[in-house]
Amino acid sequence: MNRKIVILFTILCATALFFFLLPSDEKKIRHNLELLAEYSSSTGEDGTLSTLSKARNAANRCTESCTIEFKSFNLKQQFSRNDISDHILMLKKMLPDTRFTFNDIQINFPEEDKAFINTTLSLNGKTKNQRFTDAYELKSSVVKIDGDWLFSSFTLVEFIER
Amino acid sequence: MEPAYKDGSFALCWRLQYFFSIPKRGDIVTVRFAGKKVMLLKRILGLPGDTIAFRAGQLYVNKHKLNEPYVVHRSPWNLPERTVKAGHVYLIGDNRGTTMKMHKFGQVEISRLIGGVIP
Repeated sequence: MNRKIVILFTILCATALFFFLLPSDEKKIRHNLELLAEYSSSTGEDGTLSTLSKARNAANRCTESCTIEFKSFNLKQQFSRNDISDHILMLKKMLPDTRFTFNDIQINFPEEDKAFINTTLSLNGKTKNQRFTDAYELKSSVVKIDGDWLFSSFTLVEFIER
Repeated sequence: MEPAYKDGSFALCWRLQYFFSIPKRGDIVTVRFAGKKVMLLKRILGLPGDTIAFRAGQLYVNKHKLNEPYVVHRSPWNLPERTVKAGHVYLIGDNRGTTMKMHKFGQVEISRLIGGVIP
C-alpha cells in the first residue's frame, strides 16, 4: 500500500513538473521581452558587426509592420523591420553604453493568438561621462505568427501631463 | 530629488499614508509606472483646482510665489499657467538645476500615488 502511494505521488509530482516546465505562451512572450531588452542594450564595447546583428535581431522580434506611438512627439506611424533596425542603430549610437530592462510585466490574452503587455522600460547608462537613469511605461501588443510571438505595436503611456 | 534625496540613497515608502489622510502640498511621494518595482520620487506642489506656473525658475501656485527652501539649484524655467484637474496632483522634483525638458514633472492621477516617503 505504501509503495503504491509513493508511486502515485511520484507520478503526480512528475506531471506537475512537466506542466510547470512546459513553455507557455506567457513564458514565450516574457522571453521575447528579455531578448528585445538584450538586443537593444549596448555595452560600449560592442563591435560594428555585433551592433548590426543586435539591431537586426531586435527588429526581427517585431512584425513586418509595427506601429509605434509617442503622443508627446506627435508620432503614430508604422515602421518596417528595416526602419526599426535603423532606428535602433541610431539609438545605440546616441546611447553607446546603456542597459534596457523591462520590469513589472503584465500580460493579458484577449484572444488565443493575440496578447497585450503593460510594462515599465528602464534605461541605465552613461553619456559623456555622466550616469543617467530613466523609465517609461509602455503598452505593447504581440501577435502569434507561425508559433512565434512578435511585437506589433508599442505605445508610450504618458501618465504625467505637464 | 536632490538635495533632499541623493542619487543611490535609500528611502522607505509608507504605502498606508493615503489610507488615513489625503495628499498635501509638500508631501514627497512615490508614483508608479506599470507596477511598483520602478517608481518616480516627486514632491506634491499642486492640489486639485490649483493653478501652477513657472516664471524665471520661480514656482507660482494660485498666482502666489511659493517659498521653496528645499530647492538649491534653480534653472530659469518658464511654464504658462495651467490648472490641476480634479483627482490629480501636480508633482515636481526638487532638482531644478536641469533644463525643464530633462525633468519629468506634471499632473498625475492620485490613484498612481503609491505612498509617502520616510523620512
